[in-house]
Amino acid sequence: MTGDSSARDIAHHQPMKFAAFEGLYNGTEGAGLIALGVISQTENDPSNENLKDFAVKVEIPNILSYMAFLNWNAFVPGINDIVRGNEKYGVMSATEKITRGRVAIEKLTLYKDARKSGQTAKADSLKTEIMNPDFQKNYFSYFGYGYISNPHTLVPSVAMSFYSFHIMVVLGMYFIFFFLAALFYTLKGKIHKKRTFLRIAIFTIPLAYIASQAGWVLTEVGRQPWIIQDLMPTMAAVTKISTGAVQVTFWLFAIIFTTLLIAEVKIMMRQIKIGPKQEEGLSDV
Amino acid sequence: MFETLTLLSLQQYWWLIVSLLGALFVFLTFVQGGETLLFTVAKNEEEKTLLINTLGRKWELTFTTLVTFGGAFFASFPLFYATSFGGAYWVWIAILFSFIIQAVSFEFRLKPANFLGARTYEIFLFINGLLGPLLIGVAVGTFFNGAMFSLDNMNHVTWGTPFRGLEAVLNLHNVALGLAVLFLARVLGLLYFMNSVHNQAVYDRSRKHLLYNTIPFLVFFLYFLIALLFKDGFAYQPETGKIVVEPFKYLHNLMALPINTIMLLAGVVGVLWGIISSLLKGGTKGIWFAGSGTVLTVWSLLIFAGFNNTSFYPSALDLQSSLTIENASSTHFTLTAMSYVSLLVPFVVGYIWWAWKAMNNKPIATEELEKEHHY
Repeated sequence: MTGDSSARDIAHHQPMKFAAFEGLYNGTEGAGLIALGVISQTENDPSNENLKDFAVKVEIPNILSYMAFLNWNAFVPGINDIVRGNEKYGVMSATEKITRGRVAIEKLTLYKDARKSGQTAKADSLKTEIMNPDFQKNYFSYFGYGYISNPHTLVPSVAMSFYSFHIMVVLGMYFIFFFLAALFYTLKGKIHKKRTFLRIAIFTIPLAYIASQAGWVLTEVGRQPWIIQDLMPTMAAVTKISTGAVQVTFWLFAIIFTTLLIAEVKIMMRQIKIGPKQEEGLSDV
Repeated sequence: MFETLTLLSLQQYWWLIVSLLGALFVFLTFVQGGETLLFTVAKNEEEKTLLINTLGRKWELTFTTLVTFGGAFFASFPLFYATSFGGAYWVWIAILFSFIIQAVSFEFRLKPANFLGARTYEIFLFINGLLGPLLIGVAVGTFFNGAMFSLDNMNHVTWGTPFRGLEAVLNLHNVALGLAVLFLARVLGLLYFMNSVHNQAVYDRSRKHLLYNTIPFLVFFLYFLIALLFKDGFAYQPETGKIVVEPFKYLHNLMALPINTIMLLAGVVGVLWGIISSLLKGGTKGIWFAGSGTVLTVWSLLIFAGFNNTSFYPSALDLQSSLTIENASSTHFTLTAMSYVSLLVPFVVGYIWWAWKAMNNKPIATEELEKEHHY
């Protein structure tokens, strides 16, 4: 299953995103999977607006550990573990990563300055230091953290990640049953007689777009603040254009695409009204 | 195979590929050129639909080539991509929008209940045909005249004007290139009509307008080329990594790269022969001479922009921020991996050729309009 291996990839490479969309605040061994849940408005951690309790949740024990690490009792780090660190399980704190990231940035800046001012010997020795495998592993791999000032900004919106993920999963399950039913009726040759099913089919069309959009929201909101995990935060990557320019672009897109959408819908409605072409030899399908 | 090449060889290989894609794109802008001629060449609705149908069979090739050009640039010279697309923001947004309105126009124009009416979609096509070649020509002009950016230590772009790239139209040399590309696109569009539309009236009118468009094309192109050879250029000193202004830089490149110069001359001769033979003798083959001539000409010009230690994206704001194929490229590893992928390019070109032939199997004539679905 691709969804399954994708979950393991995310658990390894983007543990914060994983914890956010699973709504896992405090890591534990044998972590349970929250199948369904409603996030309450009260803050779990007053210093971090992204941490909110569940008002209601349905939890299946141990599944999450298995999904992430193929081990029913594995430790899955939660949001708090990733921010504060967890010595017992070897999770480094965000503050430590930030310190190391700053060391990496400083060294790279020194190298670039040396090269710019023509101090070749100094630049070469700095380059050797930077390229050293230990430095790469222990400092350079936290480069992006050097741009972060408040560790809480490392937490993406839990509610948006959690809900978009669950909307996607629930719809995905629904599609499986829906298409099995469609296949069943088609093989029996009576799909065109099932009026209720055909009505459901019409309402299923927009659900595909919703599932797809929910997937994108999860991917892009859940990855924040990273544009390249651990190496480059979004705020360092973003083009420095004015707010006005962004607004103008947004409205240009909104106006043009809304206009074209109206045209598209009108054309489609007309074509539906015209109906399928009557072809000879095909009668009741 | 590729991993044994030096970084510089890989950079040059990729500059050749990116330049070739750019050159193929300019040839394929005959679609845009044709879009600007709908109201000129067609005298009634039927002829107009004929022209739009013949362009509608090809617009995807042009657009896909543009996207591939951008994609190849992103992968091989990411610092250019980040600097230009993030920096010269408004130019690229304008180009993007001109292409957004193009695609749907072919699709929607003659559909019943299309909300805006056929005329609006024809105007959308005209806007795309005008702005696409013009702005892309102007943007490529900055490869020779410089753009208003500076890069800090971490390669963050700062743009020197609030117009974000649109200020390039204030430079006469850039504008000359933009207009040369626009009129070339129109010339190619006319030659394409002469080749593909089986309608005598359209053929005769296309041939008549060929002359009117060739004259401004030649004026702007020759001005661009001659001014280029006599202007200062942006040279790169490989020993120090410094960028310096060098008088007659492109003339020096012309002499330093003789094979490329021969290609440029062959290309110009091809374009001229395609036009002149069509003007004097008629026929339908002009597009092939002018088209392959265009590819050779643009390819060689882009090679002049990046080879022989030249900065291909100079900064007019901060000389040392200028980009060269050496300082803007991906790493040896990435270029190597992509070079293997590039071996697939001939297959892609083969597919384009095959698709083109398949689409041309049915000649476009007035009779076709009655039975085929319209764009």
